[in-house]
Amino acid sequence: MLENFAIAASETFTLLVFFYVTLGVLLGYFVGALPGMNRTTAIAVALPFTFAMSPAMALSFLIGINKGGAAGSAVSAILINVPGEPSSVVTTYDGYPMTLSGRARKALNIALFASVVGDVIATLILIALAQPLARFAVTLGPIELASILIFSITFIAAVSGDSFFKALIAGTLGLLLSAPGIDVETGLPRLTFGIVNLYDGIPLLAVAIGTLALSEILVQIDNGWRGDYTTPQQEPGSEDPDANRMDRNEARRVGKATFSGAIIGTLVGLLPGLGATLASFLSYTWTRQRSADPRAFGKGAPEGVAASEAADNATVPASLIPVFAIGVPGSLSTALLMGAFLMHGLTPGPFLFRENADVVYGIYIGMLMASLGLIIVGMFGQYILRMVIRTRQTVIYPIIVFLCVIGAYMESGTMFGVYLMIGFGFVGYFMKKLDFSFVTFVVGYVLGPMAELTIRQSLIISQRNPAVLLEHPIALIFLVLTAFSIWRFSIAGLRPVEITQPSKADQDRD
Amino acid sequence: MSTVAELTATLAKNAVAGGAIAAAALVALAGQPAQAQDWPQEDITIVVAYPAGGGTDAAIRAMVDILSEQFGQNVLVRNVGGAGGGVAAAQVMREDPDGYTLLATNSTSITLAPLVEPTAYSLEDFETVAILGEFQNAVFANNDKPFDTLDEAIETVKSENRPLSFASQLAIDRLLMQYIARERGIELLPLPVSGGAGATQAVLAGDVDLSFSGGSWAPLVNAGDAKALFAASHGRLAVMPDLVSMEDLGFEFGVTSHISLHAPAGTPEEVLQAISNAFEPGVKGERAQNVGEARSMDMTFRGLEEAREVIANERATYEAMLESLGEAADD
Repeated sequence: MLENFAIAASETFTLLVFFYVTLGVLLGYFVGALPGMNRTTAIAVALPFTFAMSPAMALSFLIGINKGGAAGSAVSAILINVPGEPSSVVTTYDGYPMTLSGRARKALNIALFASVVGDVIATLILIALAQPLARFAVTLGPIELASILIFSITFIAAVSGDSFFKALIAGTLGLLLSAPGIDVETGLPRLTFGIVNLYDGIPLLAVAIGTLALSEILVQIDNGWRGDYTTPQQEPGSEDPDANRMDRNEARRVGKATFSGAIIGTLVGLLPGLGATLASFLSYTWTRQRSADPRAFGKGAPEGVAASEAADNATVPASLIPVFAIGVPGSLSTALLMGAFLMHGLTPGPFLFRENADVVYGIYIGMLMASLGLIIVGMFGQYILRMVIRTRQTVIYPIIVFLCVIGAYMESGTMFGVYLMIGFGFVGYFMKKLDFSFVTFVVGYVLGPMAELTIRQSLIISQRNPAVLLEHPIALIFLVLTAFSIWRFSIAGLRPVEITQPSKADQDRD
Repeated sequence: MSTVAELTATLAKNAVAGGAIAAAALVALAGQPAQAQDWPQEDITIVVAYPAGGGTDAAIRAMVDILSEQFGQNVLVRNVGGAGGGVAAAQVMREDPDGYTLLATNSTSITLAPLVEPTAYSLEDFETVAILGEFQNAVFANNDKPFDTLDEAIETVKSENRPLSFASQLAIDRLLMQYIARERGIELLPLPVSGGAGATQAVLAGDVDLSFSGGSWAPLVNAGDAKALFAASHGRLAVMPDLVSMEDLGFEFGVTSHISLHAPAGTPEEVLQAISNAFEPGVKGERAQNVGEARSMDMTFRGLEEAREVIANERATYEAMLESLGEAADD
């Protein structure tokens, strides 16, 4: 392992890479801090601009955006009581009361500390765990992979939001979208309507940029039209220097909350579909229940901010573990990152370590650089960020629309992608308006082709004989889990956790 | 996908180089005014039929500096991926036949695809300008398989009374395997995989008996992770001359694929010749040769006349193979 790090370091451990990674963190920080825009949007828009970079640099840059977004969302949550991202909803519970009582700087520093610690712990777990898992995953054939994919798809029902059936419809729509293209077995075009540009399927970036980024702009236009245009709020001004000091007892509690938050975030991030919002909520609940004074929570308890932010940031590296090890993305942002891997000629999964070990270790180095970038941006960027969250939307949104068009054009070098992106912008707009789940939609679209391929491979290998499953115990376990998951999340009809606070419709968009 | 950054970089580089070229051109013009041609007058765009980062793309990008020096114009690379080269081919076909828009592609997208798939173009829609390199196609297998040659593999499946499984991803590998199966009288079990990485994974995981590969086999075999059985081409391969070829195995045909350069049909002959001449130093340049070595491609340049012959032969081979398979199906 050290040897791999040494080789990768010679290429990745440069100022240029560090510059780009920090730039990614900064971008993510901005986008995270801006209410309405989230880090998945930022990744979708930034992805086409990484084509010219080396694979390790490109992925580190994109992961940097993801990390920065997770940390930056705390800023607006603390200062103006508007979570920059759904995963920071919980941060507002104690962060904003701290601001009201003149402890804004303390809250921001605790959020930054918790973000960095959560991030570093989860990154180290990723580095320790991904390769052994991948070594094990090499022994997984199509039959095992097919059952893991089926399990992942049903598991997403757990985060279906308010309406299970709407989520199901969105997921099916996503699966259908993945159907056009060249049929893998016959080599003939399927559902392409004679359009050559669809032979490789509906392009990822057109779908992602359209439904995630452009649709958000359309929603904002709509809001402006209706007159409920949100002018940026002013933060309460006065700071109390005495209250911003921290005593040893408090530091100990914050440290404990941060550590448990990091572990909870890592565990939740590992599982497909659950995401950062649930992680921050669970971590907050855990810390509150174990606190000596649970009633202080919600009124400005520093450990509440720490618990939420540590878990939020820990999910980012943790959700990459299944991508690196078995090639299965569990969330929107990892689905996009997986697309980025493919665009750079890398196939995530067990063979990634074998064929592109240097790139993987380069990404590890890049991720650790991003942790450092988080500290730098967090410490020096707070004043800029205070201005950013007050920037008028009429300045920011046109720039984003411009980037959307460029990004969609770059994927295939044709206007086809741009038209498609605009079309999906409207699809996304109506999905947002009617509260259809984005996670199930995009994950269905990304997992669809993989599930189809592995299921068809399994049918060929097994010669359509289900008894073969008895020789594949791992596949059997996942299929039993699938049955349980379907029962648990649909038939039993229980929602895992209700996360009710400001923007409920936003909760599944991390 | 030619990115803005890269484009700007290329432009900037060419602007610097431009000065030197202009000076050189002036000297050349002063010396031999008779040889001055009026082509090219504009920037030249090379449409690479695959996304950035692939073998064809890497090879072309490695030549750009030399090419723009040769042409005395900016050379822009545009990646138009999709449909295994089909999207780019359909686009370039519609361009003016003036030599300013060229197509760099895998030759099978022009020679084989129109024969077996619905395509928006045919071989006759293009002029062949040059062959820039040859993909080193071979068939390889997992080290643990109980055979080391094609004949032993056929023995194995015949004695076990089962079909021969192979990782199937492209028209070219399906054609090759069907041809072999017909000639040797065995059944096939194609396992669909996605891309070269999928084929590699299927071989290394032991899911298939063997797999065709356009070059990703070489590093695996050299590292001892897999074994090469035979070259898919009629003659032997440049990267591994010891490996038996289809000819050695007694087959009438083998399959080839090249990095080929095309222009829309109707481009004037002297323009084609000028383009071909400019590419020769590009392919022979150190950078292109290094790319070839790193990606197991044989970067041997073939000019206008030779290239036309290669493409015509490739086409004739595919037609003959398909015909022999068609007859088999009719029996």
